[in-house]
Amino acid sequence: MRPSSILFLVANVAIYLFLLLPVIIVIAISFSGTDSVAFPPTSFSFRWFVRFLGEDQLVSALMVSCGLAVASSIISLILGGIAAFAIARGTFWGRSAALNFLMTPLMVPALVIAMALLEFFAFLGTPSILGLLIGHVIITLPYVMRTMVAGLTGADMLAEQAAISLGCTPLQAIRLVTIPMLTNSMVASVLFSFIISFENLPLSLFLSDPDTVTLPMQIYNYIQWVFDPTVAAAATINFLVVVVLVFVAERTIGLSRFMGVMK
Amino acid sequence: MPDRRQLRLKILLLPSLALMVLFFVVPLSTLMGTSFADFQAGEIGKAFSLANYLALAQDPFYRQIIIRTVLIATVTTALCVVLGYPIAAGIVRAYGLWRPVLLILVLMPLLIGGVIRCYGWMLILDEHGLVNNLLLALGIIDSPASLLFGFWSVVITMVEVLLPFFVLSMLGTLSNIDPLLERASLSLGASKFQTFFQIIFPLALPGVIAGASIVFSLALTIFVVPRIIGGPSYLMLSTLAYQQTSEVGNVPFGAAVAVLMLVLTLIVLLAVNRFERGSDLNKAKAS
Repeated sequence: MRPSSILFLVANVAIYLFLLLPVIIVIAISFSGTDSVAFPPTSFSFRWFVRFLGEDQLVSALMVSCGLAVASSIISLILGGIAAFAIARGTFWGRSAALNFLMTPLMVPALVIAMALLEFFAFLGTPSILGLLIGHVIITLPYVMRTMVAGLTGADMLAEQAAISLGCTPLQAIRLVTIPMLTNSMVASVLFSFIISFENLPLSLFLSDPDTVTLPMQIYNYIQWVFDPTVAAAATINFLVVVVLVFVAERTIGLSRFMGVMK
Repeated sequence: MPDRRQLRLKILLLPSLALMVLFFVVPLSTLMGTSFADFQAGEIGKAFSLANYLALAQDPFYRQIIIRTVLIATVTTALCVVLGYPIAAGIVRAYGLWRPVLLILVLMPLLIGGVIRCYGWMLILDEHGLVNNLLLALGIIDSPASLLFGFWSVVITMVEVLLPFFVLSMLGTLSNIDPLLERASLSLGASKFQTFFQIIFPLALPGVIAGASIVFSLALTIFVVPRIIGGPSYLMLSTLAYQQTSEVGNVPFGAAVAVLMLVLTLIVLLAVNRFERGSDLNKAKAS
Protein backbone atom coordinates (compact mmCIF):
# COMPACT_ATOMS: atom_id res chain seq x y z
CA MET A 1 0.00 0.00 0.00
CA ARG A 2 1.11 3.54 -0.71
CA PRO A 3 1.72 5.85 2.27
CA SER A 4 -1.25 8.02 1.35
CA SER A 5 -3.58 5.00 1.34
CA ILE A 6 -2.28 3.95 4.75
CA LEU A 7 -2.86 7.46 6.06
CA PHE A 8 -6.40 7.38 4.66
CA LEU A 9 -7.07 4.02 6.30
CA VAL A 10 -5.70 5.10 9.67
CA ALA A 11 -7.73 8.31 9.56
CA ASN A 12 -10.88 6.34 8.75
CA VAL A 13 -10.36 3.87 11.59
CA ALA A 14 -9.74 6.75 14.02
CA ILE A 15 -12.90 8.59 12.95
CA TYR A 16 -15.03 5.45 13.23
CA LEU A 17 -13.64 4.91 16.73
CA PHE A 18 -14.56 8.49 17.65
CA LEU A 19 -18.06 7.98 16.22
CA LEU A 20 -18.67 4.71 18.05
CA LEU A 21 -16.80 5.43 21.30
CA PRO A 22 -19.73 6.75 23.41
CA VAL A 23 -21.98 3.85 22.41
CA ILE A 24 -19.23 1.30 23.09
CA ILE A 25 -18.62 2.83 26.52
CA VAL A 26 -22.29 2.81 27.49
CA ILE A 27 -22.68 -0.83 26.45
CA ALA A 28 -19.49 -1.84 28.28
CA ILE A 29 -20.62 -0.10 31.47
CA SER A 30 -24.01 -1.82 31.36
CA PHE A 31 -22.25 -5.18 31.84
CA SER A 32 -20.18 -3.89 34.75
CA GLY A 33 -19.97 -6.01 37.88
CA THR A 34 -19.46 -3.03 40.19
CA ASP A 35 -21.46 0.02 41.20
CA SER A 36 -19.16 2.41 39.45
CA VAL A 37 -19.49 3.84 35.98
CA ALA A 38 -15.70 3.89 35.57
CA PHE A 39 -14.39 2.66 32.24
CA PRO A 40 -13.17 0.02 31.63
CA PRO A 41 -15.34 -2.02 34.04
CA THR A 42 -13.33 -4.36 36.22
CA SER A 43 -15.76 -7.29 36.31
CA PHE A 44 -18.68 -8.64 34.30
CA SER A 45 -22.32 -9.19 35.29
CA PHE A 46 -25.94 -8.94 34.16
CA ARG A 47 -27.04 -7.42 37.46
CA TRP A 48 -27.86 -4.01 35.97
CA PHE A 49 -30.25 -5.63 33.52
CA VAL A 50 -31.95 -7.37 36.43
CA ARG A 51 -32.05 -4.04 38.23
CA PHE A 52 -33.49 -2.40 35.10
CA LEU A 53 -36.37 -4.91 35.04
CA GLY A 54 -37.07 -4.05 38.67
CA GLU A 55 -37.21 -0.30 38.02
CA ASP A 56 -40.86 0.33 37.16
CA GLN A 57 -40.13 3.83 35.88
CA LEU A 58 -37.67 2.61 33.27
CA VAL A 59 -39.72 -0.39 32.17
CA SER A 60 -42.90 1.63 31.83
CA ALA A 61 -40.96 4.29 29.89
CA LEU A 62 -39.79 1.57 27.50
CA MET A 63 -43.41 0.46 27.07
CA VAL A 64 -44.63 4.01 26.46
CA SER A 65 -41.88 4.58 23.88
CA CYS A 66 -42.60 1.32 22.05
CA GLY A 67 -46.35 1.94 22.03
CA LEU A 68 -45.94 5.49 20.86
CA ALA A 69 -43.47 4.51 18.14
CA VAL A 70 -45.71 1.69 16.84
CA ALA A 71 -48.89 3.79 16.91
CA SER A 72 -47.34 6.88 15.34
CA SER A 73 -45.58 4.97 12.57
CA ILE A 74 -48.79 3.13 11.64
CA ILE A 75 -50.83 6.34 11.60
CA SER A 76 -48.10 8.13 9.64
CA LEU A 77 -47.91 5.27 7.17
CA ILE A 78 -51.67 5.34 6.52
CA LEU A 79 -51.99 9.13 6.31
CA GLY A 80 -48.72 9.59 4.43
CA GLY A 81 -49.30 6.57 2.21
CA ILE A 82 -52.64 7.79 0.85
CA ALA A 83 -51.32 11.35 0.52
CA ALA A 84 -48.25 10.09 -1.35
CA PHE A 85 -50.55 8.04 -3.62
CA ALA A 86 -52.56 11.16 -4.45
CA ILE A 87 -49.40 13.17 -5.15
CA ALA A 88 -47.70 10.48 -7.25
CA ARG A 89 -50.78 9.46 -9.28
CA GLY A 90 -52.62 12.76 -9.51
CA THR A 91 -52.22 15.36 -12.24
CA PHE A 92 -54.03 18.14 -10.40
CA TRP A 93 -52.60 21.57 -9.72
CA GLY A 94 -50.71 22.13 -6.47
CA ARG A 95 -49.36 18.60 -6.00
CA SER A 96 -45.77 19.66 -5.45
CA ALA A 97 -46.85 22.51 -3.19
CA ALA A 98 -48.77 19.98 -1.08
CA LEU A 99 -45.71 17.73 -0.94
CA ASN A 100 -43.45 20.61 0.09
CA PHE A 101 -45.94 21.62 2.75
CA LEU A 102 -46.09 18.10 4.18
CA MET A 103 -42.25 18.08 4.33
CA THR A 104 -41.92 21.34 6.30
CA PRO A 105 -41.72 19.72 9.77
CA LEU A 106 -38.21 18.62 8.72
CA MET A 107 -37.17 22.26 8.49
CA VAL A 108 -38.51 23.26 11.88
CA PRO A 109 -36.41 22.37 14.95
CA ALA A 110 -38.07 19.61 17.01
CA LEU A 111 -37.83 21.77 20.12
CA VAL A 112 -39.81 24.55 18.44
CA ILE A 113 -42.53 22.10 17.35
CA ALA A 114 -42.68 20.78 20.90
CA MET A 115 -42.99 24.27 22.41
CA ALA A 116 -45.72 25.22 19.95
CA LEU A 117 -47.68 22.05 20.69
CA LEU A 118 -47.30 22.50 24.45
CA GLU A 119 -49.02 25.86 24.35
CA PHE A 120 -51.67 24.64 21.90
CA PHE A 121 -52.53 21.42 23.77
CA ALA A 122 -52.58 23.23 27.10
CA PHE A 123 -55.16 25.58 25.59
CA LEU A 124 -57.25 22.67 24.24
CA GLY A 125 -56.80 20.54 27.36
CA THR A 126 -55.63 17.57 25.26
CA PRO A 127 -54.58 14.49 27.27
CA SER A 128 -50.80 14.04 27.34
CA ILE A 129 -50.67 10.72 25.50
CA LEU A 130 -52.85 12.00 22.65
CA GLY A 131 -50.72 15.14 22.37
CA LEU A 132 -47.55 13.05 22.22
CA LEU A 133 -49.08 10.80 19.57
CA ILE A 134 -50.08 13.77 17.39
CA GLY A 135 -46.63 15.32 17.82
CA HIS A 136 -44.91 12.09 16.82
CA VAL A 137 -47.14 11.73 13.75
CA ILE A 138 -46.23 15.30 12.69
CA ILE A 139 -42.48 14.66 12.94
CA THR A 140 -42.58 11.22 11.27
CA LEU A 141 -44.95 12.13 8.42
CA PRO A 142 -42.21 13.78 6.26
CA TYR A 143 -40.10 10.61 6.31
CA VAL A 144 -43.09 8.54 5.19
CA MET A 145 -43.94 11.07 2.48
CA ARG A 146 -40.43 11.09 1.09
CA THR A 147 -40.10 7.30 1.05
CA MET A 148 -43.59 6.60 -0.28
CA VAL A 149 -43.55 9.26 -3.01
CA ALA A 150 -40.17 7.92 -4.19
CA GLY A 151 -41.52 4.35 -4.10
CA LEU A 152 -44.73 5.22 -5.95
CA THR A 153 -42.88 7.22 -8.59
CA GLY A 154 -40.57 4.27 -9.14
CA ALA A 155 -43.38 1.69 -9.26
CA ASP A 156 -44.71 0.90 -12.73
CA MET A 157 -48.08 2.56 -13.26
CA LEU A 158 -48.74 0.35 -16.26
CA ALA A 159 -49.02 -2.69 -14.00
CA GLU A 160 -51.96 -1.04 -12.26
CA GLN A 161 -53.61 -0.17 -15.57
CA ALA A 162 -52.98 -3.66 -16.93
CA ALA A 163 -54.71 -5.13 -13.89
CA ILE A 164 -57.70 -2.85 -14.46
CA SER A 165 -57.93 -3.69 -18.17
CA LEU A 166 -57.78 -7.38 -17.25
CA GLY A 167 -60.90 -6.97 -15.14
CA CYS A 168 -59.80 -5.75 -11.71
CA THR A 169 -61.70 -2.92 -10.10
CA PRO A 170 -59.41 0.06 -9.29
CA LEU A 171 -59.48 -0.87 -5.60
CA GLN A 172 -58.57 -4.47 -6.38
CA ALA A 173 -55.73 -3.24 -8.58
CA ILE A 174 -54.37 -1.17 -5.70
CA ARG A 175 -54.74 -4.01 -3.22
CA LEU A 176 -53.38 -6.77 -5.45
CA VAL A 177 -50.81 -4.92 -7.55
CA THR A 178 -49.78 -1.54 -6.16
CA ILE A 179 -49.46 -2.37 -2.48
CA PRO A 180 -47.34 -5.52 -3.03
CA MET A 181 -45.01 -3.47 -5.26
CA LEU A 182 -44.61 -0.97 -2.43
CA THR A 183 -43.68 -3.40 0.34
CA ASN A 184 -40.10 -2.13 0.49
CA SER A 185 -41.11 1.51 0.73
CA MET A 186 -43.66 0.73 3.41
CA VAL A 187 -41.16 -1.25 5.50
CA ALA A 188 -38.65 1.60 5.14
CA SER A 189 -41.29 4.19 6.11
CA VAL A 190 -42.31 2.32 9.22
CA LEU A 191 -38.69 1.75 10.17
CA PHE A 192 -37.68 5.39 9.85
CA SER A 193 -40.83 6.56 11.63
CA PHE A 194 -40.35 4.09 14.44
CA ILE A 195 -36.78 5.18 15.06
CA ILE A 196 -37.47 8.92 14.71
CA SER A 197 -40.28 8.57 17.24
CA PHE A 198 -38.39 6.20 19.55
CA GLU A 199 -35.41 8.51 20.05
CA ASN A 200 -37.23 11.85 20.24
CA LEU A 201 -36.60 13.80 23.43
CA PRO A 202 -38.00 17.35 22.93
CA LEU A 203 -41.63 16.31 22.42
CA SER A 204 -41.69 14.24 25.61
CA LEU A 205 -39.88 16.96 27.50
CA PHE A 206 -42.77 19.34 26.88
CA LEU A 207 -45.76 17.03 26.43
CA SER A 208 -45.21 14.10 28.82
CA ASP A 209 -46.98 13.86 32.15
CA PRO A 210 -45.74 11.47 34.88
CA ASP A 211 -47.65 8.57 33.29
CA THR A 212 -46.38 9.11 29.76
CA VAL A 213 -42.65 9.54 30.25
CA THR A 214 -40.79 8.06 27.28
CA LEU A 215 -37.53 6.11 27.39
CA PRO A 216 -35.24 8.91 26.12
CA MET A 217 -36.79 11.25 28.67
CA GLN A 218 -36.45 8.75 31.52
CA ILE A 219 -32.81 8.13 30.56
CA TYR A 220 -32.32 11.89 30.44
CA ASN A 221 -33.84 12.20 33.94
CA TYR A 222 -31.78 9.34 35.34
CA ILE A 223 -28.39 10.47 34.11
CA GLN A 224 -28.76 13.69 36.03
CA TRP A 225 -29.51 12.09 39.39
CA VAL A 226 -28.55 8.41 39.37
CA PHE A 227 -24.94 7.39 39.03
CA ASP A 228 -25.06 3.62 38.75
CA PRO A 229 -25.06 1.56 35.54
CA THR A 230 -28.85 0.85 35.52
CA VAL A 231 -29.39 3.55 32.95
CA ALA A 232 -26.57 2.09 30.83
CA ALA A 233 -28.53 -1.17 30.83
CA ALA A 234 -31.60 0.75 29.65
CA ALA A 235 -29.49 2.31 26.90
CA THR A 236 -28.16 -1.11 25.87
CA ILE A 237 -31.73 -2.41 25.58
CA ASN A 238 -32.57 0.64 23.48
CA PHE A 239 -29.53 -0.20 21.35
CA LEU A 240 -30.72 -3.81 20.92
CA VAL A 241 -34.13 -2.62 19.71
CA VAL A 242 -32.38 -0.54 17.05
CA VAL A 243 -30.02 -3.38 16.07
CA VAL A 244 -32.95 -5.76 15.58
CA LEU A 245 -34.77 -3.18 13.44
CA VAL A 246 -31.70 -2.49 11.31
CA PHE A 247 -31.08 -6.22 10.88
CA VAL A 248 -34.69 -6.85 9.82
CA ALA A 249 -34.50 -3.91 7.43
CA GLU A 250 -31.23 -5.07 5.89
CA ARG A 251 -32.62 -8.58 5.33
CA THR A 252 -36.01 -7.56 3.95
CA ILE A 253 -35.35 -4.44 1.92
CA GLY A 254 -31.58 -3.96 1.78
CA LEU A 255 -31.38 -0.92 4.03
CA SER A 256 -28.34 0.46 2.22
CA ARG A 257 -30.49 1.32 -0.80
CA PHE A 258 -32.68 3.59 1.29
CA MET A 259 -29.88 5.73 2.64
CA GLY A 260 -30.87 8.70 0.50
CA VAL A 261 -34.12 8.93 2.39
CA MET A 262 -32.61 10.02 5.67
CA LYS A 263 -32.46 13.72 6.33
CA MET B 1 -64.25 10.60 -15.57
CA PRO B 2 -60.63 11.82 -15.25
CA ASP B 3 -61.95 14.83 -13.34
CA ARG B 4 -63.68 12.61 -10.85
CA ARG B 5 -60.53 10.55 -10.41
CA GLN B 6 -58.53 13.71 -9.73
CA LEU B 7 -61.16 14.82 -7.25
CA ARG B 8 -60.95 11.48 -5.44
CA LEU B 9 -57.18 11.74 -5.31
CA LYS B 10 -57.45 15.23 -3.86
CA ILE B 11 -59.70 13.88 -1.12
CA LEU B 12 -56.93 11.44 -0.18
CA LEU B 13 -54.70 14.41 0.57
CA LEU B 14 -57.18 15.99 2.94
CA PRO B 15 -56.51 14.03 6.16
CA SER B 16 -52.78 14.78 6.24
CA LEU B 17 -53.25 18.40 5.14
CA ALA B 18 -55.89 18.91 7.82
CA LEU B 19 -53.66 17.34 10.46
CA MET B 20 -50.75 19.56 9.42
CA VAL B 21 -52.80 22.75 9.43
CA LEU B 22 -54.42 22.02 12.76
CA PHE B 23 -51.41 20.68 14.67
CA PHE B 24 -48.50 22.35 12.93
CA VAL B 25 -49.46 25.63 11.26
CA VAL B 26 -51.88 26.80 13.94
CA PRO B 27 -49.63 25.97 16.95
CA LEU B 28 -46.59 27.56 15.28
CA SER B 29 -48.59 30.68 14.49
CA THR B 30 -49.83 30.81 18.07
CA LEU B 31 -46.26 30.47 19.30
CA MET B 32 -45.22 33.38 17.09
CA GLY B 33 -48.10 35.42 18.44
CA THR B 34 -47.07 34.61 22.01
CA SER B 35 -43.54 35.82 21.30
CA PHE B 36 -44.97 39.32 20.82
CA ALA B 37 -46.75 39.34 24.18
CA ASP B 38 -45.32 41.15 27.14
CA PHE B 39 -44.60 39.46 30.44
CA GLN B 40 -44.77 41.32 33.69
CA ALA B 41 -44.97 40.16 37.29
CA GLY B 42 -45.47 36.55 36.19
CA GLU B 43 -48.43 37.38 33.95
CA ILE B 44 -48.61 37.04 30.18
CA GLY B 45 -49.97 40.31 28.91
CA LYS B 46 -52.35 40.88 26.02
CA ALA B 47 -50.61 43.93 24.55
CA PHE B 48 -48.43 43.70 21.47
CA SER B 49 -44.82 44.27 22.40
CA LEU B 50 -41.38 43.89 20.89
CA ALA B 51 -39.80 43.70 24.35
CA ASN B 52 -38.71 40.06 24.02
CA TYR B 53 -36.92 40.63 20.74
CA LEU B 54 -35.36 43.87 21.97
CA ALA B 55 -34.04 42.04 25.03
CA LEU B 56 -32.56 39.33 22.80
CA ALA B 57 -30.85 41.94 20.66
CA GLN B 58 -29.69 44.29 23.37
CA ASP B 59 -29.05 42.42 26.61
CA PRO B 60 -25.35 41.42 26.66
CA PHE B 61 -26.21 38.12 28.39
CA TYR B 62 -28.55 37.03 25.59
CA ARG B 63 -26.27 38.45 22.91
CA GLN B 64 -23.50 36.28 24.29
CA ILE B 65 -25.73 33.20 24.02
CA ILE B 66 -26.58 33.99 20.41
CA ILE B 67 -22.91 34.51 19.50
CA ARG B 68 -21.93 31.34 21.36
CA THR B 69 -24.59 29.33 19.53
CA VAL B 70 -23.48 30.55 16.10
CA LEU B 71 -19.81 30.02 16.99
CA ILE B 72 -20.37 26.46 18.26
CA ALA B 73 -22.45 25.65 15.17
CA THR B 74 -19.72 27.03 12.89
CA VAL B 75 -16.85 25.12 14.52
CA THR B 76 -18.98 21.95 14.67
CA THR B 77 -19.79 22.23 10.97
CA ALA B 78 -16.14 22.76 10.00
CA LEU B 79 -15.05 19.73 12.01
CA CYS B 80 -17.88 17.61 10.57
CA VAL B 81 -16.68 18.46 7.05
CA VAL B 82 -13.07 17.56 7.89
CA LEU B 83 -13.98 14.29 9.66
CA GLY B 84 -16.97 13.35 7.53
CA TYR B 85 -15.36 13.68 4.12
CA PRO B 86 -12.85 10.81 4.55
CA ILE B 87 -15.60 8.61 5.98
CA ALA B 88 -17.88 9.27 3.00
CA ALA B 89 -14.99 8.79 0.56
CA GLY B 90 -14.13 5.52 2.29
CA ILE B 91 -17.69 4.22 1.96
CA VAL B 92 -17.82 5.15 -1.73
CA ARG B 93 -14.51 3.36 -2.37
CA ALA B 94 -15.39 0.25 -0.34
CA TYR B 95 -16.58 -2.79 -2.25
CA GLY B 96 -18.29 -6.08 -1.47
CA LEU B 97 -19.65 -6.56 2.00
CA TRP B 98 -17.64 -3.62 3.37
CA ARG B 99 -19.99 -1.05 1.92
CA PRO B 100 -23.18 -2.00 3.80
CA VAL B 101 -21.13 -2.73 6.93
CA LEU B 102 -19.54 0.73 6.93
CA LEU B 103 -22.87 2.35 6.14
CA ILE B 104 -24.49 0.62 9.09
CA LEU B 105 -21.60 1.68 11.35
CA VAL B 106 -22.36 5.28 10.41
CA LEU B 107 -26.11 4.85 10.62
CA MET B 108 -26.17 2.98 13.93
CA PRO B 109 -25.13 5.84 16.23
CA LEU B 110 -27.66 8.07 14.48
CA LEU B 111 -30.44 5.59 15.13
CA ILE B 112 -29.49 5.11 18.77
CA GLY B 113 -30.17 8.76 19.35
CA GLY B 114 -28.62 11.76 21.02
CA VAL B 115 -29.53 11.11 24.65
CA ILE B 116 -27.62 7.85 24.93
CA ARG B 117 -24.60 9.19 23.07
CA CYS B 118 -24.51 12.25 25.32
CA TYR B 119 -24.61 9.88 28.28
CA GLY B 120 -21.62 8.10 26.75
CA TRP B 121 -19.78 11.41 26.44
CA MET B 122 -20.65 12.20 30.05
CA LEU B 123 -18.97 8.94 31.05
CA ILE B 124 -15.94 9.95 28.99
CA LEU B 125 -15.63 13.57 30.05
CA ASP B 126 -16.75 13.91 33.65
CA GLU B 127 -14.60 13.93 36.73
CA HIS B 128 -14.39 10.14 37.03
CA GLY B 129 -14.58 9.59 33.30
CA LEU B 130 -12.34 7.84 30.84
CA VAL B 131 -10.22 10.85 29.92
CA ASN B 132 -9.49 11.80 33.52
CA ASN B 133 -8.68 8.20 34.49
CA LEU B 134 -6.35 7.95 31.52
CA LEU B 135 -4.57 11.19 32.31
CA LEU B 136 -4.27 10.21 36.01
CA ALA B 137 -2.86 6.80 35.13
CA LEU B 138 -0.32 8.36 32.80
CA GLY B 139 0.68 10.83 35.49
CA ILE B 140 -0.14 13.83 33.33
CA ILE B 141 -2.50 15.32 35.92
CA ASP B 142 -2.60 14.97 39.71
CA SER B 143 -6.26 15.54 40.46
CA PRO B 144 -9.25 14.86 38.21
CA ALA B 145 -11.32 17.76 36.91
CA SER B 146 -14.63 17.62 35.07
CA LEU B 147 -14.28 18.39 31.38
CA LEU B 148 -18.02 18.93 30.96
CA PHE B 149 -19.87 22.25 30.73
CA GLY B 150 -17.55 24.08 28.34
CA PHE B 151 -16.99 25.03 24.73
CA TRP B 152 -14.87 22.08 23.63
CA SER B 153 -16.87 19.37 25.39
CA VAL B 154 -20.02 20.68 23.69
CA VAL B 155 -18.29 20.93 20.30
CA ILE B 156 -16.76 17.43 20.49
CA THR B 157 -20.06 15.84 21.47
CA MET B 158 -21.96 17.80 18.86
CA VAL B 159 -19.53 16.77 16.11
CA GLU B 160 -19.98 13.13 17.09
CA VAL B 161 -23.77 13.43 17.22
CA LEU B 162 -24.10 15.27 13.89
CA LEU B 163 -21.35 13.57 11.87
CA PRO B 164 -23.63 10.82 10.45
CA PHE B 165 -25.96 13.48 8.99
CA PHE B 166 -23.04 14.96 7.08
CA VAL B 167 -21.75 11.61 5.82
CA LEU B 168 -25.17 10.40 4.67
CA SER B 169 -26.01 13.59 2.82
CA MET B 170 -22.61 13.58 1.05
CA LEU B 171 -22.76 9.99 -0.20
CA GLY B 172 -25.00 10.66 -3.19
CA THR B 173 -22.80 13.36 -4.72
CA LEU B 174 -19.59 11.50 -3.99
CA SER B 175 -20.72 8.22 -5.53
CA ASN B 176 -21.71 10.07 -8.72
CA ILE B 177 -18.13 11.22 -9.34
CA ASP B 178 -16.51 9.03 -11.99
CA PRO B 179 -13.45 7.31 -10.43
CA LEU B 180 -11.80 7.43 -13.86
CA LEU B 181 -11.45 11.21 -13.49
CA GLU B 182 -8.99 10.73 -10.65
CA ARG B 183 -6.91 8.25 -12.64
CA ALA B 184 -7.00 10.43 -15.73
CA SER B 185 -5.81 13.42 -13.75
CA LEU B 186 -3.00 11.45 -12.11
CA SER B 187 -1.87 9.87 -15.37
CA LEU B 188 -1.75 13.29 -17.01
CA GLY B 189 0.82 14.35 -14.46
CA ALA B 190 -1.18 16.10 -11.71
CA SER B 191 -0.13 15.41 -8.15
CA LYS B 192 -2.50 13.73 -5.69
CA PHE B 193 -2.90 17.09 -3.98
CA GLN B 194 -3.76 18.87 -7.25
CA THR B 195 -6.12 16.08 -8.27
CA PHE B 196 -8.04 16.33 -5.03
CA PHE B 197 -8.32 20.11 -4.84
CA GLN B 198 -8.74 20.86 -8.56
CA ILE B 199 -10.75 17.87 -9.82
CA ILE B 200 -12.47 15.88 -7.08
CA PHE B 201 -13.33 18.47 -4.45
CA PRO B 202 -15.04 20.94 -6.83
CA LEU B 203 -17.25 18.08 -8.04
CA ALA B 204 -18.02 17.07 -4.45
CA LEU B 205 -18.73 20.65 -3.38
CA PRO B 206 -22.55 20.53 -3.80
CA GLY B 207 -22.63 17.51 -1.48
CA VAL B 208 -20.30 19.18 1.01
CA ILE B 209 -22.49 22.28 1.06
CA ALA B 210 -25.68 20.26 1.43
CA GLY B 211 -24.21 18.26 4.29
CA ALA B 212 -22.67 21.28 5.96
CA SER B 213 -25.94 23.21 5.83
CA ILE B 214 -27.84 20.34 7.43
CA VAL B 215 -25.24 20.04 10.17
CA PHE B 216 -25.15 23.81 10.70
CA SER B 217 -28.93 24.15 10.95
CA LEU B 218 -29.15 21.18 13.33
CA ALA B 219 -26.26 22.47 15.43
CA LEU B 220 -27.98 25.86 15.82
CA THR B 221 -31.05 24.24 17.35
CA ILE B 222 -30.07 20.87 18.85
CA PHE B 223 -31.17 20.53 22.45
CA VAL B 224 -29.76 17.32 23.95
CA VAL B 225 -26.09 18.17 23.62
CA PRO B 226 -26.08 21.64 25.21
CA ARG B 227 -28.54 20.47 27.86
CA ILE B 228 -26.58 17.40 28.98
CA ILE B 229 -23.01 18.39 28.13
CA GLY B 230 -23.31 22.19 28.36
CA GLY B 231 -25.41 22.20 31.51
CA PRO B 232 -27.59 24.98 32.92
CA SER B 233 -24.81 27.57 33.05
CA TYR B 234 -23.39 27.15 29.54
CA LEU B 235 -26.57 28.04 27.64
CA MET B 236 -27.25 27.90 23.92
CA LEU B 237 -30.42 29.15 22.22
CA SER B 238 -32.24 25.81 22.57
CA THR B 239 -31.49 25.43 26.26
CA LEU B 240 -32.34 29.09 26.85
CA ALA B 241 -35.74 28.56 25.19
CA TYR B 242 -36.37 25.50 27.34
CA GLN B 243 -35.21 27.19 30.53
CA GLN B 244 -37.37 30.27 29.95
CA THR B 245 -40.47 28.24 29.07
CA SER B 246 -40.28 25.36 31.54
CA GLU B 247 -38.20 26.58 34.44
CA VAL B 248 -38.62 30.36 34.58
CA GLY B 249 -42.17 30.30 33.22
CA ASN B 250 -41.57 33.26 30.93
CA VAL B 251 -43.40 31.64 28.02
CA PRO B 252 -43.38 34.74 25.75
CA PHE B 253 -39.62 35.12 25.99
CA GLY B 254 -39.12 31.38 25.41
CA ALA B 255 -41.36 31.71 22.35
CA ALA B 256 -39.25 34.60 21.05
CA VAL B 257 -36.09 32.48 21.39
CA ALA B 258 -37.87 29.65 19.54
CA VAL B 259 -38.89 32.02 16.74
CA LEU B 260 -35.29 33.23 16.50
CA MET B 261 -34.13 29.59 16.17
CA LEU B 262 -36.73 28.99 13.48
CA VAL B 263 -35.71 32.09 11.55
CA LEU B 264 -32.00 31.17 11.71
CA THR B 265 -32.77 27.65 10.42
CA LEU B 266 -34.90 28.96 7.58
CA ILE B 267 -32.23 31.47 6.54
CA VAL B 268 -29.63 28.69 6.33
CA LEU B 269 -31.88 26.32 4.43
CA LEU B 270 -33.18 28.95 2.00
CA ALA B 271 -29.67 30.27 1.28
CA VAL B 272 -28.50 26.76 0.47
CA ASN B 273 -31.61 25.97 -1.52
CA ARG B 274 -30.87 28.95 -3.73
CA PHE B 275 -27.31 27.74 -4.19
CA GLU B 276 -28.18 24.18 -5.11
CA ARG B 277 -31.05 24.98 -7.43
CA GLY B 278 -30.53 23.07 -10.64
CA SER B 279 -27.87 20.79 -9.20
CA ASP B 280 -28.21 17.01 -9.08
CA LEU B 281 -29.11 17.11 -5.42
CA ASN B 282 -32.24 19.04 -6.06
CA LYS B 283 -33.40 16.52 -8.62
CA ALA B 284 -32.76 13.72 -6.17
CA LYS B 285 -34.78 15.53 -3.53
CA ALA B 286 -37.70 16.10 -5.86
CA SER B 287 -37.99 12.42 -6.75
